[in-house]
Amino acid sequence: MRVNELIGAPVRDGDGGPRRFVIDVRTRVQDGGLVVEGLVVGRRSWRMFGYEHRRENGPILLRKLIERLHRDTRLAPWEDLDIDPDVPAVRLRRNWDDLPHLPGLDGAH
Amino acid sequence: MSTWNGKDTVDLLTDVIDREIVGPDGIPVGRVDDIELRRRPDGTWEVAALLTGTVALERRLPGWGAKLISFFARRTGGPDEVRSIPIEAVTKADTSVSITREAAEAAASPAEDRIQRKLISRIPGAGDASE
Repeated sequence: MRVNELIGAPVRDGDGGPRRFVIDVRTRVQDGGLVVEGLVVGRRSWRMFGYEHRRENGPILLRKLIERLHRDTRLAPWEDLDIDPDVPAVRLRRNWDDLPHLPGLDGAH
Repeated sequence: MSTWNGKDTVDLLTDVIDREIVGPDGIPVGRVDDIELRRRPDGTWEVAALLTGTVALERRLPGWGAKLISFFARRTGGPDEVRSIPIEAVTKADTSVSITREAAEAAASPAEDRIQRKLISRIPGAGDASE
């Protein structure tokens, strides 16, 4: 499976809520390799420019804009996803409201 | 030294895709245009390889962008086929992605050589720019 097939793919949850989009693929470093942890999913397919990782705040206007655009962006664990690579489309097995917000974009710095 | 710049988590689009790929001597060999994932025996997924080449790039461009890249590729001898760099060949990743010498030689861009011969070498003064 290719990452470019996943980025921008539509995501639906079990409740038939509004369509969301894959923004990024989150991995964790393990033994020098990268293991997929889940998909970063949001209402818009805009990139986050790494603000969810960084401690620095500048440029402040851009940071505020990204925070605003991604206030509803969440991390969907890989084991909670059904992915059809032929479409491509992603189905979330959990309710959207149960997903954790992305730390770093919730204003808790 | 940590390969992934001391990070615990890496977001593939934000932190890896579009980064320049360089060999051990710092010479660029391309950009990360896509990433291949594979399933592990325990059912989890991991990054298998970084992909570079205009064919890999076209897949995530809008239609007009892919046509533009394809147009220029045809003018310079055809599209660059996808070259795969195993994740084990990555030695360091921060603002660029450093890879081993063997991987850099295998991933060298044929299009870059063609562009050098067909376009850049025809620019007056291109051959003695450092003099």
